[in-house]
Amino acid sequence: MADGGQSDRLSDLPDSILHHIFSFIDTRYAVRASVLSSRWRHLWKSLSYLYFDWETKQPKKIAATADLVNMVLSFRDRESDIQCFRLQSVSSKNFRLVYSWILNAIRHNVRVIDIDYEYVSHPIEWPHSLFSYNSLTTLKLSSIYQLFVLPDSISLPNLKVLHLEDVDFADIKTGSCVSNLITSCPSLEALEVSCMNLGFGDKFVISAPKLERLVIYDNVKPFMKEMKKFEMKICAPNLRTFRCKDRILNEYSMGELRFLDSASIDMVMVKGCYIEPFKILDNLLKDKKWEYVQHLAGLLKAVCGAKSLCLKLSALLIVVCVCLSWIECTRFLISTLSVISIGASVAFSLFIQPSLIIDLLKRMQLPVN
Amino acid sequence: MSTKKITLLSSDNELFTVDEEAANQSLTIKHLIEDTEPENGVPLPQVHSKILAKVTEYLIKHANEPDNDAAAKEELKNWDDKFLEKVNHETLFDLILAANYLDIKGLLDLTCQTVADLMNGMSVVEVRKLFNIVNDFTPEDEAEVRKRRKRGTKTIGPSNDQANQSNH
Repeated sequence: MADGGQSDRLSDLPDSILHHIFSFIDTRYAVRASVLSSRWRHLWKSLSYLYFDWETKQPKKIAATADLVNMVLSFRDRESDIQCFRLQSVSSKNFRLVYSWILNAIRHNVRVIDIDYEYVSHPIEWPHSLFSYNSLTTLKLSSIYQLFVLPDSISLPNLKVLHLEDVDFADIKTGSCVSNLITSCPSLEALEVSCMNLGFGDKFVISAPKLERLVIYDNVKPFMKEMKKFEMKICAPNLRTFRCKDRILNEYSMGELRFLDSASIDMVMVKGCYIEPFKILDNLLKDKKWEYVQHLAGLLKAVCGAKSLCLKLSALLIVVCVCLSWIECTRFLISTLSVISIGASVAFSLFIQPSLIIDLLKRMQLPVN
Repeated sequence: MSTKKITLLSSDNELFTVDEEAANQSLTIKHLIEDTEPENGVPLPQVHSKILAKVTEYLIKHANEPDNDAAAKEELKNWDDKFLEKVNHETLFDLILAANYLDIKGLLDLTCQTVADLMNGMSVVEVRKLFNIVNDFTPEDEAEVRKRRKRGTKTIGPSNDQANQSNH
C-alpha cells in the first residue's frame, strides 16, 4: 500500500466523486470520515446515496443505527436531493421510524427506495404518499414473512424498476395486491418477484406494456403444504429478458413475445422435492403428468423465439416427457433455439434410469428433418 | 461491417487508436467526435499518455459487454480485478479523474468502488495514514465534530476512538 508521494489525492477529489465513492459503502463511514479533516467535515450532509446496514440483532446497536439515520437525515443540507435511500436488514423495532424516514426522503426528492426488513410479525404500514409519488423510479422491498399494508389507491407513473422479495400483503390476497401494484406503474421496465405467496387466488396477472425484464423466482414457501395451483397470466409484449423458476403446477399464459432476447426456465415440482423423489415420481405419473407436460409445452412455446434459452428442467420432468413420448413435440420447439443448456439434477440422474436421459439428450440435439 | 477507428491524443501528444465502439463508452469522446469531427485525433489535454494507455486498455476490453453470458461476465470481472490489482494510489486517483472527465461510467464505478473497499471497515487513523490526510482541525473543532459524530455512531463498528486518542 505504501506510496511514494505524500500528497493527499483523496481529499483533492471534487465532492461529486467523493459522494460516488461513499455510495459503495455504509453511510456510517461517511459520517465517521467527518473527523478526518476540515475537508471532510460537512461532506456527509449532502450525500446523494444513503445506505445503512443494521447487520445486528443487538438492541444497543439497533438503537445506534436508528440514531445514525435520524442524525444524517435531520442534519442534511436542505437543498440537496437524495438519489437513493437504502436500508438493509432494518430491525422491525424501527418500523415507525422507517415511516418517517421515507417521508423525509420524499421531501428530498428521493428516486430510489430500497428497504429490506428483518423478520416482523405485525403488519407494516407504509406512508401513502410513497405510493402516489411521481419522482420514484425504483422501489425494492424485501423482508422475511412480513405483512405489508398498501393504500387503496396507487399511482407511480415513473416507476421503472420494482423488486418484491418475500413480501406478503395483509388483508387482501397477496397475488391480486401485487397485480394491482404492477398495473399502477405504467412505465415499469423491470420487475422481479421472488419468494412470494402469489397463489391465494386462481390467477396472478402481470400486465405491463413497457416491461423488458421479468424475473419470477422461487415463489414457493417451504412451509406451504397445500399447493394450490393458479394461472400465471403475463401480458408484456415488449419483454426482452425472462427468468422463471416456478412450480410446474402453475400454468403460464404469456401471449406473443416478439422481442424476447433471452429466457431462462427452471420448472420444479416443489421446493425440497429432492427428499423423496420416488414418491413424487409416483404421484406425478399417477395423476398429473399430462397437465404438467401441457404447462411446460405452453411455456416453452411462448419463449422458444428467444435468441438464447436456458432450460433447467428437473430430471423428473424429463422422465415424464420421455414417458409420454412428448419428445417429438420438444424436438419441434427446440429446433428453433440457438442456445440450449440442460441442467438436469445429477442426483436424479442417478436415481432414475440414466439411459432415458441420455437418450433424450441425444435426441434433442438431432436436427429436425 | 467496417469498424471506424478513432485516434485519441494525450496531453503529451501521444496517439492512441481504438475502435469507435470502444471509444464511445466515453461520453465525452463521443460528444467531441459528434460536435467537432476532429481530423488529427481527439485532443484530450487533461489526460497523460500513461493514464490514457490504461483507459484505452479498459475501453477495448469493455467494448462488447456480455448481456446474459454468466461465464463471460465472470471473466470480465476477473479482468477488472487484475486491471487495478497492481495500480498504485497515484495512478488510481489519476484514473478516477480521467474516468470522471471522459465520462466513462463503468471505469468510474470500478475505480471508486476500489477506493471505497480500501476505506471500508477502516478506522479514522488508518484512513488518514493510508491516504496521507492531514488533520487540520483545531482541538476545539475536533472536539465539536467528534461530539456530534458520536451521537450517531458511538457503538457502531470497530471503535476507532481509542486509536484517535492515542494519535494526539
